[in-house]
Amino acid sequence: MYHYFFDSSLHHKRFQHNIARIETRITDLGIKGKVTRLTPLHDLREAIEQSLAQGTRTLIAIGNDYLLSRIASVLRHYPKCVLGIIPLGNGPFSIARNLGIPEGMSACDTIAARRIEVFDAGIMNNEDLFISVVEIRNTLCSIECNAQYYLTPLSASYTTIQNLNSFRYPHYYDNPADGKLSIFICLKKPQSWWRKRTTLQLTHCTAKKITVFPLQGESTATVDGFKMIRLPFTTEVLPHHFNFIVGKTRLYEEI
Amino acid sequence: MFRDSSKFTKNDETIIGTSVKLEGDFVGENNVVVEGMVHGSMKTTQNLRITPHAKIFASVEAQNASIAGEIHGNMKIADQLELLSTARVNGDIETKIISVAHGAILNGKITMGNEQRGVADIPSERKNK
Repeated sequence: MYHYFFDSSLHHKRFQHNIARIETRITDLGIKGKVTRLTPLHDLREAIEQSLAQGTRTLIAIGNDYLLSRIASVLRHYPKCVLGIIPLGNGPFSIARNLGIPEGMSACDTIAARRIEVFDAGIMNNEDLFISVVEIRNTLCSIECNAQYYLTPLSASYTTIQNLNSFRYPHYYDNPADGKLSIFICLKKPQSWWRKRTTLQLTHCTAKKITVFPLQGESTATVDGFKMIRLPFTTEVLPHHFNFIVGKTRLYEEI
Repeated sequence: MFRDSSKFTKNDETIIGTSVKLEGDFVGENNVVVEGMVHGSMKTTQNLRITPHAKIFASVEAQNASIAGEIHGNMKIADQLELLSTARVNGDIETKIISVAHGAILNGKITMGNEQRGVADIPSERKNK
C-alpha cells in the first residue's frame, strides 16, 4: 500500500496543474494510495507512524529532497519500509537526481517500475537517521574516526560527512551501500596574494563511526540540508537500512 | 598509480590533505595519499604515496610505497619501495625491492629480500648433486 506526502510548499496555485496531472497518472498506473497534504502544523513523525501501523509499506514524498529526508529521518525502527520521491516544486532535487528519478510527472513511471535498492543510513547521536550528508561550514573541529585516529584541519574548513552526495559539491558521489561514511574536508586557499583564484585542498577518508568535536566555541552542523544540530555529535552507519525506489539514470557509485 | 586529487570523485582512495593533521593509528584498506602531517602509525594493504611537503612521524606499513616527503619512523613495505629525489627518511626500512633516486636522503638500516633461504631450506635432491 502506498502513502503519498505532498510538501507544504505545493499549496501554491502555480503547482496545482502539475499536482492534478500527477494524481491522474498515479491512478492510471494503479499505484494509488493514501494522501497527506502537509502543512506547517502537521506532525510528520506521527503521520508516518500511524500510516505504518495501518499497514503502509511504501512512502512517497512529493516535493523536494528535504521532504524525503524528513520522512527518512523517522524510520529508525522501520527497516522494511520502501521510500520514493516525485520531485516537484522548489528544489533542491539533488538526492532525486542521484537516485535517477526525473522531475515532474515522468517520476510516476519510475515509482510504478519499483526498482528497489538497499542503502545504508547514517544515524545521528543514536536518534534520527539521515540519507545524504552532514555539513559543517567554516568551523575548526577535530574528527575522531572509528575511535582510532583524529583528523584535525589546521584552519577553519568546510567538512562533510556523507553517505550519498554533498549539496555543495554534488559531483562527489559516494557509494551509499558500502557500509561506510565518507569524510571530505575542503579548504579553499588563495594561490597567491594578488590573485583571487583559489585551489581546493581536499582530504578524504572513510569510517564507520565518526565523532566531531568543536575546537573553537559553539558550532553547528546541518543534517541533510534542513536540520541544525550542535557540536559535538556522533554519527555512525546503519548498514542496509533504507529501501529506495531508484531509476535507470541513477548517478551514485554502485558496488 | 594514483589519480590527481583535484579530479577526485570516488571513494577508492584516502587522501590526507596539506592542511590536515592525522593523529593516531590509521589502518586502511585502499590506496593512501599523504600530503599533510601524520603522527602515530599508518598501515594500508594497498599503495602509499607521500608527496614532497608531507611530514610523517610514524611507523609505516604498506604493500607498495612512493616517497617524496619526510619520514621519521620505521617502514615495512611488502613489495616495492621508491624513494624520489626529495625524500628524507630517518628510520629502518624493510622491503623486497627498493629504488633510490639521486638526491634522496636515507639514515637507517635497510633489510631486503625477505625470501632469502638458508642452506637447510634447499631441497635434499639439489644438495646431493
